[in-house]
Amino acid sequence: MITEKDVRHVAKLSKLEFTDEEIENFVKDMDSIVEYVNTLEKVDTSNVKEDDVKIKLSELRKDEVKNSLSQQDAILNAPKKQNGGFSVPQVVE
Amino acid sequence: MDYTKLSILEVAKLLREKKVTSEELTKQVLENIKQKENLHALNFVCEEYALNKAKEVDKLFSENKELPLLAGIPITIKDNINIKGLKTTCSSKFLSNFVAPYSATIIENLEKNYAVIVGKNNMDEFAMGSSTENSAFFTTPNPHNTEYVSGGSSGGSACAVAANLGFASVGTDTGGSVRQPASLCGVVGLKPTYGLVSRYGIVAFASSLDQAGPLTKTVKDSALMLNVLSGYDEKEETSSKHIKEDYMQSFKGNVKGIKIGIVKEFFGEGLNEEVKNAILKVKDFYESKGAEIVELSMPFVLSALACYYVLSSAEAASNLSRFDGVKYGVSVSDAKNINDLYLKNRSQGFGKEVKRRIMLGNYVLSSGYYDAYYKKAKKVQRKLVEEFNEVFEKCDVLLTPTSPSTAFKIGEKSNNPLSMYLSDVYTVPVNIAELPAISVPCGVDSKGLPIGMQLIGKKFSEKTLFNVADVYDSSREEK
Repeated sequence: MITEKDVRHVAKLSKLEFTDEEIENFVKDMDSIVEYVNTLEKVDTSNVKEDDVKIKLSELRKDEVKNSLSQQDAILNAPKKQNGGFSVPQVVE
Repeated sequence: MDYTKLSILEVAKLLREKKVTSEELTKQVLENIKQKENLHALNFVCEEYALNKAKEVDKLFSENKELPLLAGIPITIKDNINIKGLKTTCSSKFLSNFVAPYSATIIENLEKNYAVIVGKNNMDEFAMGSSTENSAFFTTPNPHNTEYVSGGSSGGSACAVAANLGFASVGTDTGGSVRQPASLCGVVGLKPTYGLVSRYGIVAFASSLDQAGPLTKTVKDSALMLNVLSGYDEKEETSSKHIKEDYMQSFKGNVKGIKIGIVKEFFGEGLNEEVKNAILKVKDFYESKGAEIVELSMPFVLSALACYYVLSSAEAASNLSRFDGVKYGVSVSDAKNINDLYLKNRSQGFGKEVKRRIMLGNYVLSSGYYDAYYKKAKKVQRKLVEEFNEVFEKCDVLLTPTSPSTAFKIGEKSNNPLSMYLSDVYTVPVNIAELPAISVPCGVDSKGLPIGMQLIGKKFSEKTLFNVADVYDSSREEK
């Protein structure tokens, strides 16, 4: 069972804020989805090794210096910019 | 003459015979877009960009240059694929003002082939959905009956191709987002093998499952498009080094000796009777053409959907964590501190379904649940791959419905996320197992809405898929 406490905790992890009504709806929605997801328990996976499910990286390319986005292009879409960089509210007091 | 109803191959021939110019084709397509604005198949049109390109191609044709088959053909692109200097919105409020600073590799491939891009297609926000109702801008209705959905998430792409607003489109398919709307709108939709088409410059949803693919009017056009889209890209870690094939060489014109698998789980509970009968008719067609039908069972295959919602949501939550409204996107002006800025930008920028996926993803990844959900889903994925491997020892392709029903009414499923998710139950297993699959129109239901069949192949067996699909598709055109 998904509880209101679970939803509020996950919202915090997700950096999302909701009204009380939205939280209530999420409890219902997520509960039905998670209940459906729980059907995975029916699949016997006892013969699958831990190693089989690790993400395998294929060949990595060489670490070479190549042309990339210019600084100007990189900050093109920034809502707030200052001195050629991204601008954010003060982080360190 | 209205050229817009023709296939790419047909107009490519007319362009070479100098019976039509790219500019004329482009103007006709742009006129169709204006006439059918109520379909909301496009987020925006780039008229000047397209007409300039068309004139450039016409000049080359007039100089009798030998050009690729796609040269001068107007097409549309799903709005989660970057084209330098144009907007990429993902149909999200968050990216409503985002201008791409670079082009996706597949856009560069299309441009090298002189394709004429006329606009960007509407979609479910960040490709999350099965009806385009999750677009922050508008819903794309079904061109065959505007009370019904076009499917999703590439609904704008499928609608555009079906309504002759461009000869093809490129969409993305994470769990069925090319094939399901193609099926609902009556066009051909291909999901290539994972890694065959570069995703560089495409906004990521679930990186282990995402794959771009074409939507076209015919199977042959789909092969033509894949020739342009496919190929190794060093800019993408998961790009496959599979040898570059010529998919236009796929067509043998017969299915003799081909073994077609019918997996009973794809024909069980939840499948609409009319859809089922249409697929069984296709089975009979193939049998009459000399294919061998093999009856099979995959006991766990439909668990793929639950598996998919764990894996795709987990990856989406991770991929979408970079959307903070600092580097790009919409941003509030009254944030008290950095955390408040993140909270406000994300809460105001993302729509309901995107938030739902982020929440579900962070839930299954959170401490105490990771093993039960994420790891379990990865193990189930492994089992499903084994199941596919086993059936492909007994047959060459699988024939299934693409979606359990034809298009549903706008609004019908929007308050029930789980019933919406179920419309992808037959397409999702393909992404989970990294396989190629194609959806081909195979008739209409009693309401006149299109039905689609899906052919699934082994990894990198696109040529076989195209051949088998084309034998049916060509017979359909002759009718």
